[in-house]
Parts: sequence; C-alpha cells; structure tokens
Amino acid sequence: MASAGSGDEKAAAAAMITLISSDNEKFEVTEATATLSQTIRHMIEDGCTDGGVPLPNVTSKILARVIEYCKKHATAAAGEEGSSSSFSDAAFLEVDRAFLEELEEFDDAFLEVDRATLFDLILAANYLDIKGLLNLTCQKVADSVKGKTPEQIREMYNIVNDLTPEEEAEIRRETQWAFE
Amino acid sequence: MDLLCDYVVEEILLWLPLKYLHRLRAVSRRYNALILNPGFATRYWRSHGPHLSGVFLQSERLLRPWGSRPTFLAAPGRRTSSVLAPDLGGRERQTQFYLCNPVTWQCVALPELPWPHEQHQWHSGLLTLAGDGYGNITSFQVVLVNHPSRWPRKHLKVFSSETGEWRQHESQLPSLDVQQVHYPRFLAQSGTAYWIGTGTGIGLFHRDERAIVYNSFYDTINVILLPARNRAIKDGDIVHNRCLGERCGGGGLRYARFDDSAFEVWDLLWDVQAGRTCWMLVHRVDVLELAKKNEEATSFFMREWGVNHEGVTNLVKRNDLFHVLGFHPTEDGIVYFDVGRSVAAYSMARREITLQSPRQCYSSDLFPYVHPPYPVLIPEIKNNPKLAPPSELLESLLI
Repeated sequence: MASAGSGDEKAAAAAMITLISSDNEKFEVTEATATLSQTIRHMIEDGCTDGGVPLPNVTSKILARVIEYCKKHATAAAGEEGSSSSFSDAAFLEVDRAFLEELEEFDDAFLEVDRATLFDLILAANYLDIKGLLNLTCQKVADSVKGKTPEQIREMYNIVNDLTPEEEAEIRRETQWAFE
Repeated sequence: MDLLCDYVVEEILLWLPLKYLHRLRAVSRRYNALILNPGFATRYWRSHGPHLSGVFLQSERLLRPWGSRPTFLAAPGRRTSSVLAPDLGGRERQTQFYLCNPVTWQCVALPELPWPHEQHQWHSGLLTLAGDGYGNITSFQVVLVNHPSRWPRKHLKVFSSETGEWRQHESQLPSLDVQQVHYPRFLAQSGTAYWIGTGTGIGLFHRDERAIVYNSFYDTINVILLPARNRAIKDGDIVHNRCLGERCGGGGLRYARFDDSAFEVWDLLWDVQAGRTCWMLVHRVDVLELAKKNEEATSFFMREWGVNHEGVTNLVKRNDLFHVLGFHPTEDGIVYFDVGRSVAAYSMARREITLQSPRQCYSSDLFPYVHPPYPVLIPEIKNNPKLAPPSELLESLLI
C-alpha cells in the first residue's frame, strides 16, 4: 500500500495542467506550480481540470507573469520541504539563506511593473487565491501610499474627491494627529 | 484603485501603519467609509494584534536623529497607550520630553523644564492617564523623580496636561542604601515605581531586602519587605539581579531574582491561615539546568561574551548569566531576561528562553505597553503653544 501511495504521488507531481487565459492562450504548468493557487487546487481535487482550466478573468499577459511567480515560489516550497526532512547542517542552511535572498530579489524585480499591471496582478492573485502574491502586490501598493498626502494619493490613483469641503474639513480635524 | 472591489482594497489597507491609514480617510467618501467600517476595523486590529501588547524594542534607527540614546519610560495603566521619550542630547544640555504613542506614532512635545539643567535631575519618570471611561484619554500627568543618590530629599517634577505647566515639590523618602538601588527602568503598569535596596545601617551583606514603593497617581510612598535572600551576600556576588513589578498590569506584586544559582519568582498573595498577605514562591528553577535546556540562548551568550562552558558555570554561581528585566504586561507567565545584552522572553510554564532580537540592546531599550484595539489620541496640553513634532522620531517608531 505504502509504495503504491508514494508511486501515485510521484505520478501526480509530474502531472501537467493546462491553463487557458481569457484570450484563449494555453499554458502548460506542473501541478506543483498550479496548486499555489487555492482556486486551481480545489478544481484539481474536484477532478474538473481535464481539457484545461479556463480562466476568463485573466489575460495571457498577466497569466504569464503569475505563472512566472508560481514557478519560482513552487521551487522554493519544494526546497523548504527538502531541507527540513534531510539536512540541518550549517552548509545546507547557508545554501537555504542564499536561496531565500535570491527569492527576495526575484520578488523585488517581479514588482517592477507599471501601476495598471500591478492592479491586474492583484486582481488575478485575488481571483486565483494565491496568498503570497496577493500579499506581495498589496504591500507594494500600500508602500506607495505611505507618507503621501490625500491630494497626492488622489492624483496617483485617479481617485475622484467626492467629499464636500465641509466633510473634508471635518475628517481633517478628526485625523489631525495623522498629519503631524 | 477604484477598479478594485472593497475586499481587495482592504487587503491593501491592512498593510498600512495606523497613521497613514487614517490619512487616507480624507481621500474620498469610499475610503473614509471603508476605514471606519467596524468589520474592517476588526480585521485591521486583528492583523496588527501581536503589536498591541508586549515589549517595544527601541530600533537602532531611532538613535540617529537624536545624537544620543533617548530613554523610554513606560506608561502605566492597563490601557496604556503612550510612552515618554526624553531626549538626552539634542539641544545643549537640555532635556526635551515627548509623549509618544508607539502604535499611532503620535508624538507630543512637553514644554521645556523651567529650571536650569542639573546633573541627576531625573532618574525615572512616571506617566498616568485619566480617561472618560469610553476609551478616550482626557488628561495625563508626568512625574520625574530625581536620582536616588540625592535622596532622602526627593524632588518631584510634575507636569499636568490640565495646567500645561511643570511644578516642583519635595518630599521626604524613607532611607534606603542607594548603592544597592535597583533601577526601576521597567516600570509597573499601575503608575508605580519600585526601588529595591537594603535598609541604611544594616550593611550590604545582610539577607534582608526592602523596596520603596512610590505611586505617582496618589503620590504615596511605602516601604515593603522583600523575600529574604537564601544566603548572606558574599563578596563578588551580583546582588542587583532582581526585579519588582506587577503581574498582568496591576494584578498584584511580583518579585523575581537570581539568587544562589537559582531563578525564583515570588508573588504577594493573601495567606488564609496567617490572615495577611505574604510572599509566596511560585516558581523556582536551577539556572545551570535552565542554561542546559536552552541551548540557543546559552550559546548566543557564549558567542557574544566569548566564554566557554566553565565560564558559564562560574557566571551561574555568581548569578550573572541571565539578568531579569521585567514582566510581560498582559501574559502572566512571561518574564523578560537580558541574555548577553539581548532581550529574551522566558516562559515559566515551559521553562523556555526565546530570544526576541538578534542584536544587542540594553534594558533601557525596551518598555512594556498595552494598547487598546483602536487608536487612542494623546489629549491636548492646555495653555501650550504647539511645538513642532520630531518627525524623524515618528518615522522610526514603526513596529
């Protein structure tokens, strides 16, 4: 039983999934990469991925970026599992740290995109339920808001100010401490 | 940003420190409504929960704008929201005090002391807050106590936000051998400071110890007896490795010490048979055993101080391996230790020492605080021309 079980797991690890973007482009990815998305993981568990997974909310341009992120982070997840079960010596930990640094560099470079792409990535991460990517992209937007005045934020993100002057004055009075 | 649904916008807002979150309220109706929404407020405070109580470690970045090390003084009260950060450098020999809220980053400068600068003019400070019962702080009082080497004449410098003025008064303190004074850096939550020493004339090598208890809110002074040492103090013993504080922010007195190669925790409890309160030993652990069990903390110490196993054994005998700093403001079984100039949390239940920061810091770098799960504003100082806030300090208070 045990050997048959692990054989199945190996077969599953090598299994490929086809993702189909809104503009009908097909992407072939390993199951390990695809299951970073909780949405796709549930679909695989329910056995409804035959013939490909249509993702009508995600364009091919964005899906390619998302897959790039998932591939990198799926390797990272596999690496973590390996280290905890087999090694704990200093040399291996050193390699581990180097890999984590590389991953951080990857994330930083990954976020070097224009605002429209960043928001598309947020929407895709939310729809596909990829927690790591959602956190990463949301944090990037939050960082861009830090230290800015409401006027600057409105301009950056094309937000229309629908507050009456009286309402705005009232809010400014209440939040005066935050502007000091 | 307008294209994103509320849930996703909330995901973004969760990453913002409180100060910048509240700035967004003035952007548009949508953001004002989102931020004030009770459902979002619950999510926000839950995700920031770990920062709402515990000890705050002063960041190294904080040292830069100030030229010299600012000292934090804890703010008492179960609903503590603020700390006092006096600047020891800055302007020429002048001390500037600030009241800061570590969660909202709000910072209010107190008026300068109206007296000429003198050495030892303050040794510790106490802050008490008065509220309206609905979570708002309506006024505060800061009391500075002069250095124990100047006692028994105790100078109190009191600032009240109600008057906006400093005043000074003197009171008589009971005698205490100040050579053995324990610094009340880690102040208790009820607005009380404790100085531990031996009674004057009794001599340094006596087993008895006592403490002066000063409550700044009621302005009362008492002397209490502490549990006697297990053996008379010998030459070379580290005698100041001890701490007097309060359990869970006001839940009775707690005394902890390293004595005779053991770590002990004593609580002041009501003894039914004796019909009075007594010190009772609630926790005792052999320090050598503790050092062996907590390999990470011990090897950190050995590395930082360049000592070997024999050196550790000698330090244990002298009660000098770990140093007790204070008690967690809300978690009953957590005591903070200084381990090789780093801060560690000791769990009494699990007998485990967990390093809190990989870098070196001093006991003066940390203070306990408890913040309610909503922003609390520092009340306005009456009759005070508004001083410019120290913006660099605010930026570096990020947790």
